[in-house]
Amino acid sequence: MTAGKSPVIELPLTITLTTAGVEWFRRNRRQLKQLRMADSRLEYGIAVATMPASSLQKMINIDYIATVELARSEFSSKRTEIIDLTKLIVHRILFKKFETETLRMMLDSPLIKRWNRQNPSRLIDMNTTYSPAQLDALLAAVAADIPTVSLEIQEPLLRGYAANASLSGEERTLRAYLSDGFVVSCSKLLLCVLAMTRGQEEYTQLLEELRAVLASYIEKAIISEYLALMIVELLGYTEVSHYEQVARRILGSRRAGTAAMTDASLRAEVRQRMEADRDLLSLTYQLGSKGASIGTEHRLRVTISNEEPGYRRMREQLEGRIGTDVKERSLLDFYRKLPEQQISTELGLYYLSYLQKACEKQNVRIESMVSQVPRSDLTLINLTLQF
Amino acid sequence: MELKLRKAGKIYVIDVIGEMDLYNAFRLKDLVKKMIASGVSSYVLNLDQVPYMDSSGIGSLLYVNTELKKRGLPLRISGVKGSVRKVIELTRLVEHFPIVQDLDTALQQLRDKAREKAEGQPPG
Repeated sequence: MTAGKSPVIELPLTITLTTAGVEWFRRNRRQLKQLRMADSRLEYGIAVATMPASSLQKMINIDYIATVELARSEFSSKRTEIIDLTKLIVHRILFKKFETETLRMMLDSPLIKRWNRQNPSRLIDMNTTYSPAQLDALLAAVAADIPTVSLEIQEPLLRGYAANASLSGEERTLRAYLSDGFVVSCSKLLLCVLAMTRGQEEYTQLLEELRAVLASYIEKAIISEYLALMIVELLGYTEVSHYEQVARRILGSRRAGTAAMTDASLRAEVRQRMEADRDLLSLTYQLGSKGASIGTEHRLRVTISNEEPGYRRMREQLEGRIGTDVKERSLLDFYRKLPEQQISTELGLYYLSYLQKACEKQNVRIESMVSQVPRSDLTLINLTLQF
Repeated sequence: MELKLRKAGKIYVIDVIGEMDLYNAFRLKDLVKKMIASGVSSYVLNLDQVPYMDSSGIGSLLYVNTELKKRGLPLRISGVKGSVRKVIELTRLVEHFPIVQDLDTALQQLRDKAREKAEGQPPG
């Protein structure tokens, strides 16, 4: 969710917690609900009708959230909210990763190496722990310098964006917002060290390294825009297939499925039935966390689930697009090749290949897969991103 | 999604209002087909009030652009921003669409083009 947008997520969310999250809820005597998830598993968590974006951000920051799930008969009326939610989640994952990477960078810097040589009894390394109170006290001592440090990290980048004629005003604003978000997410220890060493040669060197990492993270975060569009596109694809299937079933005609696409009142009727039968589509964001299995930290898995018997067809369509070589080709090339009746449902699947290219460019690993839950009709479309 | 038609001299401006998706994108194609049939010769597609467009919407834009190009009828697309711009960038269509900054620029360019044509100069 970007600056200036509604600070409340207007979506009913089912949130499951990490071990740390569950412990916090129990310690604070907060009630957890037993929730049935899209894949039928029973999990403990919370269910909310709306949620302040800041609360979700905070819970992701402190590693309390395992999954965020939404189940609905349709997603078209909530596209903007889903786009914002996706961006919020991706930005938070990247802000956290940036915090860890820049802290590690500082610990490996000549500045800290020198400190450790001179103060062997007060070594600073990845295992050094400071209580929040100690960090706050350190930060308070240099509070006046923090805004200057923050500005010195960002200033050349922001100047570069302002001078870059190929960026629109909107793109400059987004980059400035992200830049600020990343710097605000820096570890307090890093900010303290920077503030305390301002003006020293090693400070300048560390600052330059930080700027390079910041610039690469800002570009990585732009992926969230494309990922959000891809998710909404896949939801649309799944939603249409679901409408057709339910319309045919309840109205008893093959043509009913097609009619539902152009007739809003027919779609409303079909939706009512879906809701009464709890025949819903689900979107799940599974966040990797420190405590989860090795290699899952800074990972995001997005799953779209649908009780869809046409699993094989869906898999073929999607996997056929994933491998498409988009080098030097625009969507126009694929548009020209598709039969007219397939354009409305299949053109968007090519976005996957473009998303893949955009991810490769930013060193983000992406995998996509269609699978089916054994002994059920539940079809899952998975996108996994390792940032 | 709503489609509003207005005239600026000989130029027809189609204002698209609302999200453009697979439930409604075909209406733009239908409208342009009718406009071509009735002899409209100059088009602006104003997307200033389109907050979101899915691949069907992109498909409709590709259709309109291709059909008008085939007939030598000029088109400008204005007001492309936000997620609409992002999807056009992602799918590398920026160069294919005659996108201009805003409606005024679109109208100006089409008027210049009409004038050049009337004066017998090669169109730019």
